[in-house]
Amino acid sequence: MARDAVVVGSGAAGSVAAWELARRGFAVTVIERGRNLRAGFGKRPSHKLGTRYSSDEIKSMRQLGFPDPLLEPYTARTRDEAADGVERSAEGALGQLGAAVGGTTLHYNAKFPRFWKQDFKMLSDLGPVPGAQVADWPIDYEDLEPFYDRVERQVGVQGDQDAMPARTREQSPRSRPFAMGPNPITYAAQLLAEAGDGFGYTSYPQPAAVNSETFKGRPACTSCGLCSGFGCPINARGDALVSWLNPAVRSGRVRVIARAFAYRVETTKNGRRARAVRYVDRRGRRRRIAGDVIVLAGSPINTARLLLMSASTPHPKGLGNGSGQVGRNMMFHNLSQVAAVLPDDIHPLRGQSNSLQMDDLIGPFTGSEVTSLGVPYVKGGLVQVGSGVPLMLEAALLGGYSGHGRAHKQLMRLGPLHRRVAGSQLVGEDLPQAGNRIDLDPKTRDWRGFPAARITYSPHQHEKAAITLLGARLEAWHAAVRGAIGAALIPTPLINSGASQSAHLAGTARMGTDPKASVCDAGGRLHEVANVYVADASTFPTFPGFNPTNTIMANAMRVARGIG
Amino acid sequence: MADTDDHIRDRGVTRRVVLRDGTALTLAVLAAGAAGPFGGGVAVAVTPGRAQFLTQPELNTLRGLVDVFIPGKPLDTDHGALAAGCAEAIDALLGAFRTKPPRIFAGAPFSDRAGSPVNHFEDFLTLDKYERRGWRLRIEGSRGRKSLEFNGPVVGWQQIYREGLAALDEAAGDRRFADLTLAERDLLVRQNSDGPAGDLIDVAWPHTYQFMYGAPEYGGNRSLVGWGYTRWDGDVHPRGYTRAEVEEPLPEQEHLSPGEEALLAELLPLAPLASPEFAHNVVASSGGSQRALRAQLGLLVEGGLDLGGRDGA
Repeated sequence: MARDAVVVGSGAAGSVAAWELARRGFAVTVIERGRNLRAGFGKRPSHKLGTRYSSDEIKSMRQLGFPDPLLEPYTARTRDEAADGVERSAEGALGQLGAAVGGTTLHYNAKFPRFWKQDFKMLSDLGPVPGAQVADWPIDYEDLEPFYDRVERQVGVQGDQDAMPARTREQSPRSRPFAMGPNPITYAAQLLAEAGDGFGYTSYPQPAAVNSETFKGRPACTSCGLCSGFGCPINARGDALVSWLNPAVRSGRVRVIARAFAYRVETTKNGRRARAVRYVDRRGRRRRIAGDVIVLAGSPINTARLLLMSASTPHPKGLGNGSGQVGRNMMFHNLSQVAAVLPDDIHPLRGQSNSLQMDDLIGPFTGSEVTSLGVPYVKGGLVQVGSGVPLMLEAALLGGYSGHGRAHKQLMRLGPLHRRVAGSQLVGEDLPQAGNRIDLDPKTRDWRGFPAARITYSPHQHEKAAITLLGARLEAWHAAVRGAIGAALIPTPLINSGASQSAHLAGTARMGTDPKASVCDAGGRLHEVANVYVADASTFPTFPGFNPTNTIMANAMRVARGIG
Repeated sequence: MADTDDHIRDRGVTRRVVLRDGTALTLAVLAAGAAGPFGGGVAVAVTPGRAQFLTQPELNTLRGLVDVFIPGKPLDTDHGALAAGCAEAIDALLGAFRTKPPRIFAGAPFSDRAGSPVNHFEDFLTLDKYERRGWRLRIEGSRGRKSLEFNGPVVGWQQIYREGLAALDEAAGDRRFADLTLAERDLLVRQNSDGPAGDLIDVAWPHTYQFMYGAPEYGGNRSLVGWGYTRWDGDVHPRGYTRAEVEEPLPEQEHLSPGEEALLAELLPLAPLASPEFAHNVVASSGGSQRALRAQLGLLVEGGLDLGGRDGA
């Protein structure tokens, strides 16, 4: 008789875990708080699925496929505010990821780089950083590489191995080429790459889970440019649903309960094993589903919230929280923004956004130039090269800048942000800190009455030093773009003492070998509960500066494969 | 042109702004834009000039307000929010739950503007119970129902609009707001940033630009006027772009005046926000409030934004 597995969350981690557990013979139930947005899900092959998504900016701005911030708010405060006793200074849509069957991947930007070898041994190689909880991962790049390879083959990743710099190839070696070549590179990204040449920077096609040719029956991308925040209307994006969950459901061994909110993991009396997941179904009824294995994959904030809401007599501080580390080490990539503005219309929205990647600011950087900034080393991150924003986002940003009236209309006519900008983002590494944490808000609730997740966060001196050092280089590079009027930088960690506006989240249930300093073991299993596993980015001990979905999927498959 | 000068502030050069030639910035005098390439109309379920949720006088007041937000002819060379149907689209949003399905999310995957023989956008999506709960709460408010006040009372858009429109009419004195000249209405809007009128402007300005620049199936952007003068192609599926259209520079460039180039330089501090993920999250976290968005931008753009007297909120 098949063993039962319950997976909480159907995004990048949950879908992969469900697929792998089903492959291994488990009977899997996936609990997902969002709804299904893909017609034919579970019934038709992935290349024949319909969609409720379109290139519709109003729909994007109204957050189709996201949790409603009125019904399910997060709250937030800075570390200083917390020290002053402020319970919260913000409430609403604060870093919420998607809530739909398939999770955030339905409308992600689909950038698909790998982490680097050096990222797994930061403490050993670079030493401690005061005020941060830098730790080695209990696994190496080599442990993940077979899973990266498997994931990329299943999802369908475009890229150009030959164009990658030698150091990138050395730090993230591949066992085979990309499944397909890159999409056309936007003119705006080409201009930036050309300017980067003068600084010795190498830009190359960013690996992306987007079809540049027909892949498993799904069509090639048509370069519409509306990727991040938009579901793909033509099914050209390799998301978790089409790649993993739909095939898994069609295997007959996986079922998905949509609009089901998991609020508690129930354990045996002694707390050493989990017995079931309790959830609220779409009709508001409280239900229970038993499982031999429980896999948590709701993303770092929600996984921490669920563990904390599962406190019980044997786990008084939250399930598996004897270390006190559940919810701690919350990390956001510090997306620092830079852009060149040109008098010409360079149409940055025609084509896959950020079609190039630049790795020369990943680091680590050391020496007196760095230590003078108060940290022993600096790690930056990859740079996504060549962005603009679509029209309505431009209207919003310019509206906040110029106000209403003819001035705004004239700015819209000029189109600085959708026609004349070449933007890039440093996906800045965020060091883990004990004080950056998720806990349960003492007052704010969701509509069902459960406590909201509260984010307490401020960047570390490392993040400030990193953008101080690297920001000047970013700005100089962009100012050198042929024909540019100038360039500007928003050094996010320096000017924002709160959580970054990033959909890249990690930490809150770190894996490690020491149960006193970590939540999960190397296999993602809670140290204190024999059959509960964490498969999402909560387990990441550190958060190197790369778009994380590839690593989330690869690690989820590794975790699921190791479940005994 | 004068009104443009009034509203564009000379920001100067900041530490994080690098001008290639290092020249001082001056205020911009903008050249009139050309009409856009689009002209086709789209069938919409929103009737021009006719009230759905609001009363007819309220709709008239709202029409006067959206005209302030995005003015049209004769002040400008292109039609504005009034002719684009933004007031009627807002009215339809306020009454979204009077139709089935509610007019919240347009259909998918394609309109008929880029090669599809069928316009799927016209068939609005059915909401599930969760979505209905959230959108009814946003539009109608909690109205004293304890089950909806788990984090305190929620004032819905319907009430904000009703009370705000009444406040604008009251502020207009002996006349109705809609009967004032554009300049008078603009002044009145800029002088009523608090109270019910301020609360109205806080949400009505974002609604106006959303309907002006969004898909016309929602009722605004009539004749694609918002996409015309901005040279925005709109939704381009299923046709998409060719390799040459992605990779090559445009065959012809419009000529910018020195004033427009200077204005671009002034916008440099804002330009780094041209990141879809980041901008999307900034706007989402504002919860549809112009005040909240300004606060966010003030944090992110060096020195904050001096919005006094030019944002109407």
